[in-house]
Amino acid sequence: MWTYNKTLQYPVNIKCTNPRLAKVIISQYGGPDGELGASLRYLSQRFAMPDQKSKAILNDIRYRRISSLRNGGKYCSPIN
Amino acid sequence: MVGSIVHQLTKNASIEEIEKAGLSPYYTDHGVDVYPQAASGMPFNANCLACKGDAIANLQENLAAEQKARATYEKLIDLCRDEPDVVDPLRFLRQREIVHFQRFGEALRGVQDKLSEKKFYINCDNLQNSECSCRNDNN
Repeated sequence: MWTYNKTLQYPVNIKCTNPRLAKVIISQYGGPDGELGASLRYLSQRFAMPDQKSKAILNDIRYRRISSLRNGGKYCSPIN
Repeated sequence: MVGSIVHQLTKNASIEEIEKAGLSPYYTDHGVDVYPQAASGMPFNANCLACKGDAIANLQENLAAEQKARATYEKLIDLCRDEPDVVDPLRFLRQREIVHFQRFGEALRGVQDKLSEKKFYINCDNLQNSECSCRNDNN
């Protein structure tokens, strides 16, 4: 049902460490407007949507969000 | 992607660098793992999920959330202005927020159209040979 493609959404190759920036960027990981909250919200909302198209859009965006959260930024794509 | 940005920014940091960045409390609790928390140190909280049980309210909430995420990325790009390696993926993510905003606008329009369709009601009692099994089975 799933294939695992080791392609990056967008390449991330950071040469210099910089903990100061990590401290703020982590807000997009688990902060109030971050990727984790957004993907969980879209998953919870999709079930009761009145039409198939909005369900599909919510599912699609949820899925892209969870991929952008993932360590390595790798992309796991559904066949169905 | 966000996880790997954070990971790559901290993976070989020295203790001095971590202390200087003010990450000593984070380092104490989580080392250099990527823990879901806000920049302020508040751990992830499900209050931000905001599922209201109403399709229109939910989609409007999502439209706002996409804009808030875009604004957050813009602020991060301001803070990372001297690091092109970090700014490039952040720009990509910011652009995607805009696309998501447009797609939610599309979904909202679809839902509004669906909810404003005329509705027709049929009284099953008046139909001969009704296929409505729930009545026939006495459920």
